[in-house]
Amino acid sequence: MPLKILLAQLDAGSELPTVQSKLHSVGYHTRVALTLDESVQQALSYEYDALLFLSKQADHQMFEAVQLLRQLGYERPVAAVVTNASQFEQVDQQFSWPCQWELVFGWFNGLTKQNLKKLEVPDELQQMFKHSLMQAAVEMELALQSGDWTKIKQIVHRLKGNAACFGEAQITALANDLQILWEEHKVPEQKEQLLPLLAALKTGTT
Amino acid sequence: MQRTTQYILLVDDQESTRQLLQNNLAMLKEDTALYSVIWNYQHASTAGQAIKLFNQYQPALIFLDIELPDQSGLYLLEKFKDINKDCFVVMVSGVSTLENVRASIKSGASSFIVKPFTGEKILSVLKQYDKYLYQLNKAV
Repeated sequence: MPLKILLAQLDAGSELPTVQSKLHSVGYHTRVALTLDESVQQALSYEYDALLFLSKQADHQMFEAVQLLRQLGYERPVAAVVTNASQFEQVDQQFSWPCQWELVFGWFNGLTKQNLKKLEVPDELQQMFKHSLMQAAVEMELALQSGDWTKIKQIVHRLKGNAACFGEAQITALANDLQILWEEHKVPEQKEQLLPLLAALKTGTT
Repeated sequence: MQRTTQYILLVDDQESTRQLLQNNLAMLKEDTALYSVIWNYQHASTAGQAIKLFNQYQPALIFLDIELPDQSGLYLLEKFKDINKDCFVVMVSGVSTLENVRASIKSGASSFIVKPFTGEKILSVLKQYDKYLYQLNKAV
């Protein structure tokens, strides 16, 4: 499995596309974050093996992001390519511009792929959760009949948070899509939008 | 060696989620220096229940969902820290917006887990809690 790198540039620099293609050329997978919010949010998903910040100026946002993550117990490796390497012990490795990419690749290659601890989900809990999905479907249909969108949104929010813990990642994704539709894109709520989620609740996806 | 007992409070409106967290905490604790501590788990599905249990048991470690049916988890966090500033509160949320993270830290949260849970996320928190206890004991 190739390393997955979260690549963040929070200042106004424009090095991202070049660096991204360099990382791809040696087989790494990347995801880009352009804001402090996005970098913290993506890092906390724990989907990336390491975080690489690019900084051309004194980047306070980068320091804040790393500080926040470390404060929250985030232990995955963090590296930064900076203009003036300084004492910043919360970053594991600093490189300077102009960057010698072989050194960066060497550092990445020395990292071991994160040994993910699996979540233990006993059968009885899995059954309990399956039952709660059925209940959620019934609750959602009742709320639909009475036009109670506050209740529907509560159920969607609950499913988004919990389903993936029990291996129902598709239900989490469907619930997430609905939240984005209503909250970010401000699309008015309609019954039809709920149909894929209702179907998944009734049949299960795993 | 005498083993100490600590109360752990799990606050989430979903029973299956609380149970999942308890099972994995019990298992992953064995991978840390916390293995010698006996944990006694208390569950709350609402903020009202959580306050009652907090006052009754004075838990050392709390996993607190940010969004509860009857009250905001952030409000509850402030209450807990007012009563016992040394309790270690882990906020749990389905969304890791910076706003949530900052508000949690400002109100005294020690850590933040974004759902879905993974073994690594829980283990990171346990290691952090272990370090925190070490610092706390050193200061006494």
